[in-house]
Amino acid sequence: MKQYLRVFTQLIKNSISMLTAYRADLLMRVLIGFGWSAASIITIEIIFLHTQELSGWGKSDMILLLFTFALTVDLLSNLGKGIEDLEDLIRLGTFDTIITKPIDSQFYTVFRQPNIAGLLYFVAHQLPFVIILILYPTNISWHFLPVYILFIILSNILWLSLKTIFITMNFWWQNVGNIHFLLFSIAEIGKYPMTIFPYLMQFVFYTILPIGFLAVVPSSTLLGIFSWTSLVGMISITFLFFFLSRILWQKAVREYSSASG
Amino acid sequence: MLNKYTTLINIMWQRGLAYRFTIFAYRIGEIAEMLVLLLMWSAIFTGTSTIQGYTLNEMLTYILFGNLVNTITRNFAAAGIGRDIKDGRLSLFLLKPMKHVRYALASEIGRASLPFVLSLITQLLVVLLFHDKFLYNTDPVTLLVILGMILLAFLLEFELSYLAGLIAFWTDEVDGLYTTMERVKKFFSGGYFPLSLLPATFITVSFALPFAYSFFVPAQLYLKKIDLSMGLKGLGVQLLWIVVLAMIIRVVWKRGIRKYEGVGI
Repeated sequence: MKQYLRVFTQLIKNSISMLTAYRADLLMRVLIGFGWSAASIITIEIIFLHTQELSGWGKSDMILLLFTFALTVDLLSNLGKGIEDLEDLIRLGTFDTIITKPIDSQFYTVFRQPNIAGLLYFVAHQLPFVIILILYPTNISWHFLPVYILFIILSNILWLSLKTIFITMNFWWQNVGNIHFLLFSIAEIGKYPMTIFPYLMQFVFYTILPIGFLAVVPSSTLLGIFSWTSLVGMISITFLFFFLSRILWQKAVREYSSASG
Repeated sequence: MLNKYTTLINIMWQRGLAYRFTIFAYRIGEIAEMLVLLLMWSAIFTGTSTIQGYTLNEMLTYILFGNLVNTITRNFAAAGIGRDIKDGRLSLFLLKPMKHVRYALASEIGRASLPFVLSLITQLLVVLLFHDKFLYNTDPVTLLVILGMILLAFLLEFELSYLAGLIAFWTDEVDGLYTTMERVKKFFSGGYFPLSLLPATFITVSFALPFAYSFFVPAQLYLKKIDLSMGLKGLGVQLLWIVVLAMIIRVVWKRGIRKYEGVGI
């Protein structure tokens, strides 16, 4: 464990030093972060000019939902950005250099290139949401904050596990390079209250493709809608998908045949 | 003369076939996004029959038809051009007996044709799913004007994308910028919601800008929310923008090529 922490710290340091080489890019990412949150907030403002609620969610609830969604898909995901290059690693045969290292190959593939610039984008993106949530009246039940934080940690692990499962498919199917874009697009559904969907879709989003757990469950909890079922569900689903990603990865690595021969 | 461009289109079509899963994956994602919009607006319409003059069926038709137009007109030339400049591959084109902008246009037509066919099929399937809500407009003149608008919108979108791609002459990190520009374009084209939900001044301005012709205006025309004369005026505005953007591209290309370092040579 200590060894992994040391490696991870070193990878972060490398990423920070690379960041200083691209200062213009850094500024651009911060501006883009602000721009995207502004666009989301304007869209919500416009929609709520014409309705009081969206399937039981008010305006400030929706802001919290968007804030939570980004907390889930942009936080740990940026630190584990390396997994998105797996297709190239397999196609070019450079994955060989990873499996020969004296470290868990899944850990190293996922965390070898932490995207610190992406984290700065994340902070810039979240800031306007935080300001709105502080300045305007919300239905937040602050005593549920510890449970919310626990849910955020779990949903980050869940998201990274889902991403890993999808991208691991590259080991078997060489023509599915951008498979993670499919997951990204579908995950966008997690920005909306699940109650707008028909029951069958809700069932899918809480089981087979559990994107309902990414932001809706944590946000609902902070809004005071807590149940032990959601806590048990959140923990079970996260661990189930995490272990599924481990099993798939280990099977894939066993069956991997280098592209370079 | 035309042969080299048709060859290019053919090559890009073949390349598309090799990456058919990627295209299919994008399509699934787009359908998911569209379904969310349809369901979200259905939820908003619970308890109200009209919003800013739109009935639920009109709103759903707006989303379905607008997205259909958008799948034809949108393009991703910027990223490719940006990569050519960044990686120094542009040097190869400078030696070829064709203008880069024409090469990029032919490539884009070839690249877009397979996703277009797939999009058309899947989009029609979604329309079928909502067939009881979808409003049909069979007026041939209106449909003809819309078709003209779509063709011009394709060219306009290409020019905007090409121009965005040329930014790579001045900066290395452009991917985030392209994605943001895509979002901004979608917002101003009425892709997230009809521009009619915004103040009237905004609509007037958007009619004069090139973005709304890829989604909002054709959908409005289809829904008979604007009359044919407005549609014809729109075609004129589009033509004007095509000329203006072509001139801007010329200037930016000339300045950019002076700055071009040709990495890798």
